[in-house]
Parts: sequence; structure tokens; C-alpha cells
Amino acid sequence: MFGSRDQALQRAAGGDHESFATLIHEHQDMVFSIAWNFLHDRGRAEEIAQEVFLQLYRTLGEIESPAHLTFWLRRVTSNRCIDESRRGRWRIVTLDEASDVAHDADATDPLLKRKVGQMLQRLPAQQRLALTMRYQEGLEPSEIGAVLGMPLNTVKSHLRRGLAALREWLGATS
Amino acid sequence: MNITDKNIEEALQQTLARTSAPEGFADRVLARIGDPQSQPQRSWLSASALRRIAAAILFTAALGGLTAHQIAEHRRAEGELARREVMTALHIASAKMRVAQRAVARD
Amino acid sequence: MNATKLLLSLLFTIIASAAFPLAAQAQTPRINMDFPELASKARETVDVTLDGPMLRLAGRFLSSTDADERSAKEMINGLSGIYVRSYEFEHEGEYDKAIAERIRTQLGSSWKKIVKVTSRTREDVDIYAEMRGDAITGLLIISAEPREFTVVNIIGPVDLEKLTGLEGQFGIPHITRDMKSKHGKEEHHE
Repeated sequence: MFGSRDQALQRAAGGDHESFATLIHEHQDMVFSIAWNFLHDRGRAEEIAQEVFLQLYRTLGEIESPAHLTFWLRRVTSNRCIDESRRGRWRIVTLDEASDVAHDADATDPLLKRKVGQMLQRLPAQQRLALTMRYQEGLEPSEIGAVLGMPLNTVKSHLRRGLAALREWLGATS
Repeated sequence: MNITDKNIEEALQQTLARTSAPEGFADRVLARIGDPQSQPQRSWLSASALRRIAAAILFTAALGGLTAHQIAEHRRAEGELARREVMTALHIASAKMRVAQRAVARD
Repeated sequence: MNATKLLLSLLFTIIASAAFPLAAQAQTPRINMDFPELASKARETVDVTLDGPMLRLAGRFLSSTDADERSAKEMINGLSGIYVRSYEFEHEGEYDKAIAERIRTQLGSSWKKIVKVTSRTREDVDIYAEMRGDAITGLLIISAEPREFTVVNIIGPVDLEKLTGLEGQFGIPHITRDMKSKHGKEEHHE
């Protein structure tokens, strides 16, 4: 399995469009979800995700392995999200917009989920990205640090402050 | 209703779960690959040429100074940073005020 | 021509020398809250330094539609500085709580203690306000927890209701008016 992924990467780097399409299909959900969770705007999330894959296509020769590819995609998507937020174009979304993308049915209180989704958009960009990497991608703080180019303690601080803010806003009991 | 940390973490896992990319996403990316700028770099020569062009652009930019657009972008980034720092600072201050407020209220 | 220039230069010097002391008097001096010995030991630090021009810049980027940001925008209007230093340590007792005293000693006679909260096990919070008549023209918050030390200094007119109200909008009750009336008195809460 790992060997075939490696081969797909090599073939894509050699200019094989079909192999590149395979790479896109394999990673598009991850890339789109990072952008979506950050921006909560489908159009702009897709725009960023497309740009990420176009950038990947231009630099495929520098990707060393499937693991490196995943790392690279997370990092470049995060950087583009931060750039986007610095342009000052993102906005606070309404509850209705926040529930634009449906997730699988689950046992969590749907109202709480909606509130959390809304509150996430109020967090500073770095905290939001750190939480996305933690809860979307399931990364450990050290891995988040590597992806976002931050010291471990800064990541821990972002996670802690992000959760604390959500807890405060939701009036939670710990 | 009491909301625990566990509830929040579960809600985060579900709110931030991966979602599917829009239908036809890969096709739209592949269609854009026709753009000559999107061709992969396959040789040292092209990479080197790109580096020379980039160096020339940087040199020109350095000579000509920052354009109004770049200055505006820089200013915007600075403003965004200042905005985030204000919110961080005021939230910290507000949280500490609350600690005092709770103690006063208990009194 | 030279005589005119000389006269103008002299006039400028006189005006400048007269104006700067006035400006210095009007401006509350910034409290020194930088402690390299804490920063080097801390596991995590928060360092926010926003002077007048940065606050004005931030004001232009704060949203007028988002309630929290709108409050922040109103709050920073008229402020000339916000400074925050927060140090978090790996273990309890890793910093000397007497450091708070080094900050207090910098406060002049115009500073009044609003609230002092002391707790043997949790968080000690001291809040001081600089008073000009009945108006608050500066705020200092010193918070000492077993593993965290935080100092906030706000220079300029501070609305305590509004400051606490930043979180009040998320369901947290507003600061009581009693608190304002207690300025100048020392309160101990366990």
C-alpha cells in the first residue's frame, strides 16, 4: 500500500496527470477541510484548496515521500489560511452559515456543536488553526508545532487558551 | 445544563471533523493545470531560470521601493495583528476582573 | 533672512521646551513590567505591547458588527497604551511572588487599590486604578497563581463595566457597582 502511494507520487512528479489526480483524490478532503474549518466559506475554502494543489503540482519534485506530502499539504494550507486572514477579508459567520456543511450524525448535543462552531470563528487565527490540527487531524502538539512552524510551548498555549475561551464563552464547568 | 470539558472536546472533534471536498473538485484543479505556470519544474535549468527571474524582480523592487499595494498589504497585516493583540489583552484583563468580581460577590 | 531663521529657531526651542514637560506630565508613565528572569524560567509567555499608534491602527481593524469587537473598539478609544505580560511555569512556586511588590513600588500617589483578592491556594488578584478626581485614568492588574503570573497595565480612561462586559456578553454577569465604590479600601477574600 505504502509502495503504491510512493509510486503514485513519483509518477505524478514525472508529469503523469492520472497519478496526480489520484493524489488529489487522496488528500482533497483534508486540504479542503482545513480551509473550510478556518474560513467557514465554501467558495474561498475551495479557492485555497485549489491553489494548494496547483502549488503542489509546481513543486512535486521536492516532495520526498507520502508522509512528507501530507506534512507539506497541511503546512501550505495553513499558511494560505493565515495569509487569507491577514487580508482581512474573512468575517464572523452566522449560525446558519456555520452549519452549511453537514457532518455525520453523532451523539453530541447539536446545539452545543453549533455553538462551538460559531465560537471557533471568534478565536484568533493561530488558536483556530492549532485546534483544527488537533481535532480535525488528530495531531499531537509537537506535530502541530512542526506543521505550523511554532515552538511546542506556543502550540500548547494556543490550544489551552482556545479551549479556555470556548469554555468561558459557553459557561462550561470543568 | 452542565457543559463539561469532555463535551467541548467531543463537540470540537465533530465540528472540526474532515468534510468532503465539493463535487468535481479534482477535475477543476486538473483543468487549471493547463496553465503553463502550473507545469512542474523538472530540470535544474528551469529552476535556476526562475531563481534568476525572482532575483531580478527582487532587485527591481529594492530599487523602486515598495509599491503602494505592498505598503497597503503590510499595513493591513500589521492592523490585523494589532486587532488580535487588543482582543487577547482585553480578554486577559477581563478574565482577571472576573476573578475579583467573583470574590467581591462571595463577600 | 538669517536673523528671521534664528528667531524662528529660538521661538521653536522655547515652545518645545515649554510643551514637552507639559506632555510628560499629562502622560502617565508606563510601568516597568519586564522581568527577564521570569521570561527565561517560564514555560509559556504572553507579551502584548500596544502603544497609542498601534491601538489606533487596531481600532480601524476591529469589527463594528461583532459585539465583542465593537466593545473592544469603544474601550480602546482614548487609551494610550495596553501592556500585558503573562508567564506560565512548569511547576508551582517557580517564581518569587515578591515580584508583585516590585511593580507596586512604582505606583505613585494617584494610584488607588480597588480590590485585593488573596487566596492561600489559588489566585491572588490585585487591581489598582489611577485616579484623577473621580475619573479612572489607568488600570493595573496583578494576578499571581501558583504556576502563573500576569500583569496588565492599561493607560488611559478605563471603563470597568465595559472591560468586564467584554465577557459579560457571553453570559457572564457584569461587574457589580459595589466594586467601584470600594476603591481606596483594601479587601481580603479567601
